[in-house]
Amino acid sequence: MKNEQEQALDRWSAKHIKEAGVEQPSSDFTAQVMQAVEKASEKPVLVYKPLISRIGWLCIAFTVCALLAYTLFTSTSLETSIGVSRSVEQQLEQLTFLPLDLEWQVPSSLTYGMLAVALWMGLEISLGKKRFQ
Amino acid sequence: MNHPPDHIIIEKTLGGDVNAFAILVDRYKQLVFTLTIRMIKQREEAEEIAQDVFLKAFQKLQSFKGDSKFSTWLYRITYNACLDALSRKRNSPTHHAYEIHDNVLSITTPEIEAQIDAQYERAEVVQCIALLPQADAFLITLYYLHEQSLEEIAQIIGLTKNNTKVKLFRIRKKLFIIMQSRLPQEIKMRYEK
Repeated sequence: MKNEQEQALDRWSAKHIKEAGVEQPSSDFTAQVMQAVEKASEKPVLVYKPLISRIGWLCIAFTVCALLAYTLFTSTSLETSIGVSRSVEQQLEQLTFLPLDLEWQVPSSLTYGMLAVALWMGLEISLGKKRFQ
Repeated sequence: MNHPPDHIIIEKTLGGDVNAFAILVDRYKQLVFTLTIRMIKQREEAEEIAQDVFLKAFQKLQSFKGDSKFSTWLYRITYNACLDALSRKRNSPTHHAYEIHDNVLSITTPEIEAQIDAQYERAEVVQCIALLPQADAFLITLYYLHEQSLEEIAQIIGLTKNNTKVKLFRIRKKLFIIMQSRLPQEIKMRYEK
């Protein structure tokens, strides 16, 4: 008996739900979905491009090598000393008078090199900013 | 008119023919939108969610292995999207609580059923379905309108087959009570005498 009633309710529900039917979305539904789908399927336009090109790196390497060679083969005597066997007291004593005795000898090539690097960095930063903006 | 099966269209879409996906959208848009509107109960929002469902389906199409029907897979996405939307809204429920008594079936008579049938037009039936709790409206529509099997529905909503069967029975009763409660008073009184 209960089973029959359940079946009756089932038939009754089916009738009404089918009567209610399906709802119609807006007429441009498919177009809107496809627009979103096409946007999602597009491959990213941004292609990786190094900030410094291969030629740029070659130029930098060449400049560094040239500067290094110039420093090695053209610079005059540049003495360095490392106090290995000195006692701590002697070292401290030395340190006390260090600012007075020290004479800075910066080779001109190093100065030019540093200037070139600073110039290059400034140029790269400004160019980089321009590109990303 | 040629109606290529779903799997052929899926293969074409995955093969790079994005426009082929439009066939699937056209094929399922009414069903997906109906399910969404039954659950969300707001037309504009339901349409947005239904569009998102298709977009998600497109993005996840690669993961569709064909173990189930495409429609089952799509309705599962729809169900989850609706649940997400409802949890985001956190509004008070839009349905009224209807108590279900075990004697519901015993008080129904063919006459009352006939009166309900005569009384209700399509729009009124839709209104009554809208009074069901969100997930219930989704479930009963899926079962009767989309004619999904119990196994498929269980798969969509993540319940066992038996639980789904019990749930469906309770929803039917709820819908019957809702429709009965909205009958004009004079009709109800005639049968209560």
